[in-house]
Amino acid sequence: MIPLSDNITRALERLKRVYFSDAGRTVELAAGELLIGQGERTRRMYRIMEGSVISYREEDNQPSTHMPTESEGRRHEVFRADEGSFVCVQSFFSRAFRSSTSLYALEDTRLAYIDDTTPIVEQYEYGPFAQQFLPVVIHELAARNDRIFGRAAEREEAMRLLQRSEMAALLGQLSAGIAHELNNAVGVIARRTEFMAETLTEILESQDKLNAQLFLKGYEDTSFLSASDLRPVVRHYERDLGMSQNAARVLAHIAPSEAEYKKLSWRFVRNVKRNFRIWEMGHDLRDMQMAANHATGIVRAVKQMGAPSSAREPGVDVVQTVKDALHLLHNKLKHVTLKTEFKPLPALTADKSELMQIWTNIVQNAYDALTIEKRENPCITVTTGIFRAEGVSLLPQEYVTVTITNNGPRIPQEHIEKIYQPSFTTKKQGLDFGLGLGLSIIRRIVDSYNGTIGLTSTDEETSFTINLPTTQIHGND
Amino acid sequence: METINIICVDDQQEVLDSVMRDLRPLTPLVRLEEASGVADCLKLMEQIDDDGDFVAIVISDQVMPGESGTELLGKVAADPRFAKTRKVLLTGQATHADTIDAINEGQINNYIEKPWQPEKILAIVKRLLTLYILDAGIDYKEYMPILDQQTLFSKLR
Repeated sequence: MIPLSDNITRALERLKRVYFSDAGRTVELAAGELLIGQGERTRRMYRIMEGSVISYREEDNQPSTHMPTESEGRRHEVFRADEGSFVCVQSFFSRAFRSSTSLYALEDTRLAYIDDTTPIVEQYEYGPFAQQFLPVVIHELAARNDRIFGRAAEREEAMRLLQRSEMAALLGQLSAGIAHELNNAVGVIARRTEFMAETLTEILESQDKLNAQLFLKGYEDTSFLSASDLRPVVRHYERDLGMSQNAARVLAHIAPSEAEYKKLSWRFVRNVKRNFRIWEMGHDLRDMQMAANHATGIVRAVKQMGAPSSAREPGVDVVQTVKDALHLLHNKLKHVTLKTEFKPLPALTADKSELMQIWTNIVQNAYDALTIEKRENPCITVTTGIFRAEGVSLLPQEYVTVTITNNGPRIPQEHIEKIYQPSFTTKKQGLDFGLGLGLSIIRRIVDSYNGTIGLTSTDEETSFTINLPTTQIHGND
Repeated sequence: METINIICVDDQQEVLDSVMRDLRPLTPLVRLEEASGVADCLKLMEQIDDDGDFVAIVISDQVMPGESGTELLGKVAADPRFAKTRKVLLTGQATHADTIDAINEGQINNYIEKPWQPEKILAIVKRLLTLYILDAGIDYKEYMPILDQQTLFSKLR
């Protein structure tokens, strides 16, 4: 474990043979038994021949005869030593003859010892006692160094994790607060828009059926026509029906084709010419409602981000959550080709909103990668399937996998290394900037399901694969 | 009589609808057209030019799928047929670098931030329209009701 030169290893072998082979100077301990208590006097130095010991610093300075359990007293593990290691080295050579920690056997352990009365062997050839035992001191120093460096690294890592979780907690509180306020405000807009639409429909119904019809056509408009599709139709209506551009535009929305135009009565068309603004009013209310729904969706997502506690329930259809996520992003994805291939999957015990968060985040990233670099024929492929991990019995056997692939640029190696770190982001442009939290949150969610994230990136395509086990390991739910 | 066009470019129909509504007081003296992207706008401008009509102002969003607003306005600026056309960037998402490009490459005449104030955008467009009409040598008297009086008088003085 501790790197030592061959010379020292050889010297240690000799010391074992010469000084620690006396059957009369051995101690045998059962697992958990005390070798020596903290502060207790001993004139011995031990070599572990078999088994291992653990060293505790006792805060209340009251070593018990048996290894304390978690709940007993305040104590800190100092080190563990196994076969070939020496203990009580410092107390022996410093002539303090007092143990600075309590030592317990971790398992059934046999130790050999020397004490201050042990005679020197082969002094002529190997020098005085101190010189002969120098390798033991070096071994001890090396072990202590190793321990200190290890501890320093651990502490740093712990601090880092603490900072990260504090940041996440702060962001969670912040977003929960904002989400609550926004929810109320957006809720008012959404509800009142609906009331207005209902009231207006009723008023118009009682006054003029044609206007009520016109209003509802605007309010319930579901056509997604682009400006370039509409333009020739608008021009056609302007010319042929002598309409204003604005009225023709409304008519083009209602009847984008000749076939649909023929379904309209001449009285209705005449009314569009006069009262196209009523359609626009309906359409405005529709837009307001859609905007409010959109804002509600964003608020919900932000809220989930801030609330790690999730409600997992059995029977979740993963494919459906993927479809829902794609639906949420529908508006954005109209600029890219979306290919899907869904194989039916076994139901999972999961939180739907968490799963949707994973999919929307990765699809959104894929979309961003495609638009930032302005790829030609941008394409996102989403597939689902089942993966079996064979031969690895400790891990779950069956996984549900979702793969999201885009034909965007390769992710550079140095980015891949940092991609799950919070605050790592490449999206620094404009208002749509990223906090760099997306993938770190996804990682946290996937970890909590004992799942894995795979990432491959080539010049042609980049794909993220999420594997979620179909069975949860006990104790990790 | 010739037709003077103002074109609004945005990939989001809701935004186009709002701009068009805010500029409606200018109709029917000028024609408002909308385009869903850079390619669509260039096609439309081609058609307007073929008809012998004018493109007075292009108001473009910055962030759109495909080419950006800055690229569009740069192309318009480089086309001698549209040398007098006024260019406006309407955006909420332009970075510092985009803004520099818009001025240097797009040679924009105005920069409007989203969300905008309806009176402001109308005032800006009226001013640019007035300058265009005077520049293009079009008889401004026909358009008096929608021109910016101050700009008109200071130019005619």
